[in-house]
Amino acid sequence: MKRLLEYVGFEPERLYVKWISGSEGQKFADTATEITENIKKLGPNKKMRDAQ
Amino acid sequence: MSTKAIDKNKLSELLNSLLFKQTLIAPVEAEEDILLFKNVESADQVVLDYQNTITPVKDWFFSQTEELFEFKNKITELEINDLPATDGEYILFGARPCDLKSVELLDLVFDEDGEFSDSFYKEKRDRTTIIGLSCSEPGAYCFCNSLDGLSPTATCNADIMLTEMDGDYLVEVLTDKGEKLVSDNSSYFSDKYSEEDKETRTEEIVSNMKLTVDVDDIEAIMQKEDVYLSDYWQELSLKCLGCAVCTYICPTCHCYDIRDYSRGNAGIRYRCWDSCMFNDFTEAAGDHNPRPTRRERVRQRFMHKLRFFDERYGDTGCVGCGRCLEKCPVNLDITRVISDVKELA
Amino acid sequence: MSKETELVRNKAKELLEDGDVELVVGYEEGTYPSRTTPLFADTLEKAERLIWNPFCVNSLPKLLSKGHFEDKLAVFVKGCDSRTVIRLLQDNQLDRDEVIVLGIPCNGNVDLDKIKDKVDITTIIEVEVTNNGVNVKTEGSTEELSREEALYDKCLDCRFPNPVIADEVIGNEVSELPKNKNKDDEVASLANKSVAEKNEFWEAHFERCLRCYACRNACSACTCRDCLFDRDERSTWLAKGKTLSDNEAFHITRAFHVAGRCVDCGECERVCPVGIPVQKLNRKISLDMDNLFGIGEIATSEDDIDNPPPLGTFLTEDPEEFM
Repeated sequence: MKRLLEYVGFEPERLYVKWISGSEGQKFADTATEITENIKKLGPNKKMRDAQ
Repeated sequence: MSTKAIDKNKLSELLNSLLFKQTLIAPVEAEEDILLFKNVESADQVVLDYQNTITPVKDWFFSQTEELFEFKNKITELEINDLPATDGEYILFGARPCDLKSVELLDLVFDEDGEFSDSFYKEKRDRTTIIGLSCSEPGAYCFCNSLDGLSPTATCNADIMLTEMDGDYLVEVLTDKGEKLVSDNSSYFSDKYSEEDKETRTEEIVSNMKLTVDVDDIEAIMQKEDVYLSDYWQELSLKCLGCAVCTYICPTCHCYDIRDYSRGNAGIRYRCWDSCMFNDFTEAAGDHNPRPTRRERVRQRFMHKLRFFDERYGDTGCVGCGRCLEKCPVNLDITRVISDVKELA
Repeated sequence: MSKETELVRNKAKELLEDGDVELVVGYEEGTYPSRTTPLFADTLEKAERLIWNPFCVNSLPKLLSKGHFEDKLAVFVKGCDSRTVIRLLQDNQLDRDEVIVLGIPCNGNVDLDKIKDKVDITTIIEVEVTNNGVNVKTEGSTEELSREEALYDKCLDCRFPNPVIADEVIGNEVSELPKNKNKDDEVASLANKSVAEKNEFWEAHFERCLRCYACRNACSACTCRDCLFDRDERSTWLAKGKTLSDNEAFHITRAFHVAGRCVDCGECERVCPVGIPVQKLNRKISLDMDNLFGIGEIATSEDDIDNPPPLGTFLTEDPEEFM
C-alpha cells in the first residue's frame, strides 16, 4: 500500500505502518514523535483535498 | 437569418478577441487522441478538425458533478444557503450537429422555458452563446443523417453555425444571440456565401457518411408488447459488461443522483450523473429492484432512447453521434439493435 | 473466409451437434468487418456467424462469470483470455467441468484507434499480423504498418501468445513474439520520478476519469456481486461525485483490491474511454507483489489455480516491513 501511494504521488513519509505491542510504551511515544516531526517538515497534505 | 463568411486565420483572431470578455469552451486535446470540451485560454488550443469529442457538450450545461446548495445543522434549525450564482458570459464553440441536437433535447428535459425549469441548467444555457461547427468528414460510427432533422451540417439550435468551405467558413447567423455576436465583431465577417452554397456543401459531406440505419416506425415497433417481452433483450444483455460508458458519453442521457458531501454538521448537496446500467440505479428500500438483471437494464436504455423519449417529448432520444457503439467495450451497437428489433416485429 | 474463421465455425458446430455443449461463446462481425462483438451461439445457424481475426479483442471468459449460465458451454480464448480463465476458476466464478476452453494462439490484436488515421477502417477486408508487421487490406489498397503502429499497446510486450489453459488448441502455436515495448521499464521509470512529477502525471490522468467503471466491469479479477463503489452512500471517504480526490480514491482502491490477482490482461486500459493508463497502476502492484512475496508471474498454468493469492493467505515467512 505504501509503495502504491508513493507511486501515485504521495510523499512516502506520510504513511506509517508499525507493529507496537501494548507493553512498548516508549516505542509508541518515539514513533508518534517521529511521525509528528516528519509531517511538520512536510507541511499540510494537498493531495486528495479538493473534495468536501 | 443571414449568411456570411469568415477566413480561417480570422477565426482564431476572433476567438482570441472573444476570450477577453467571455469564457470560451471548446474542444481541446487533453491527451493524445482524447478530445474534450474544456475552458480555453488561447485559440491555439482549439481543435477544429476533430470528428467527435469523447464526452458530449452536455457536460457543460449539465456538469457531471454540480453543487446545489450548502447546509448547516444548527441543532434547532437547518440553515440552507444558495451557492454563488453563475456569472459571466460563455461561448461554447465547435459543437457538432449531433451535440447541438442533444442540447435541443435536453432543453425539453430540463424544461428550459417551462414552469419547472431546472435553474442550474437554465442559468448556464441562457448565458451561453453556441457556435456550432459542421462536420467536414463524418466519422466511421456517425449516423446522424439517418435521423429526422439531422445531418452533418444541421444547425439545430446553434446561435451561429460554421461550415468549413475551401479556405474559409460559411457562417449562418441564426438567433438574436448570434446576431449580437456577429454585429459586435463585424470586422471579422464578410458577405460571400448564400444558402445554396450551404446546400451544395451539405450534399458533398453527406456523400461521405459511412453508416446508415433505417429508423422509420421504430417508436411504434418498440411499443409492441412482444418486442418488450422478447428474448432478444436477454440475448443482448449477455454481452453487456454493465459499465456506464454508453450512458456517460451519450449526449442525451440525463439521469442524475443527488448526494451530500458532509463533514460534521455542515455540508454541500450536489447532483452527479447516474447510469441506468448500474444495478443500484433502481434499487429501492428492502432490496427491491424493478430492474434486477442486465436484461431489464439493457432494454431500458434502448426503450428510453427509442420509445419513452419519443412518447414524452415527441422526438427520438438518439442523435446518431455514434459514441456508444464506438466506445462500448463489446461494441453493443444501437444501429444493430434498431435493425434487429425491426425484424422482431 | 479466413482459415481461422473456418476452424472456429467447424469446431463450434461439431460441439453443438454432438451435444457436448449447449452454447459456444465466440465473436461475430460488429458495426464493420473490422469490429467484432461477442456472439453466444446456441444453434448451428448462429455458429455460422462466428468469426476469428485480429480484431477479436475483448475478453470472453469475463462474460461468463455472472452465474447466468446453467448449461455446459465452450469459449474461445487467446493467451491473455486464458489467464482470465485461471483467475475465474481460482475465484470460483467458473466451474471447470462446465466449460470447454478452446484456445487460439494469437499474434496480437489490432487497435482501430491507432490505425484510423492511416486507413479507412470502414473498408477493411482482411488483416494479417506477423512478427514483422501488420498488413491491412482495404477495398482500395494494402497498407503495411509496423506492430507499434497498429497493435494494442498491451500486445506489444505480450508474454503469453499461447493459451495457458485449454481443452483443445485450434491453430498453430505461436513462437515467441517480438518485444516492441517494455511495460515494466516504463513502470520503473515512472516510479523513479520525483514525488511532484508522479503526482502531476497521475492527477492529469485521474482528473479525466468519468467513473463509468468500465475498467472495473471489464476486469478479470473484479467479480464482487456487490461492489463497494456502488455502495458509496454508506461510505464517508468515497463519494459518487466526480472530483479529483474521489477519482483518485477510486483508482487507488480498485488497484489494491486486485493486488496479487491481476492477470495483466490489459482490458482495463483498453476499455477506458478517456485513455487513463490503468495498467501502469496494476503492473506496479504486480511487480511489488513479486518483489515482496516472490510470486513471479501468476496464472501461467492450470496448476496455479491451487496457489492462493498472496494477500488472501498467510505464511510465516511473509515479509514484515512494519515490525
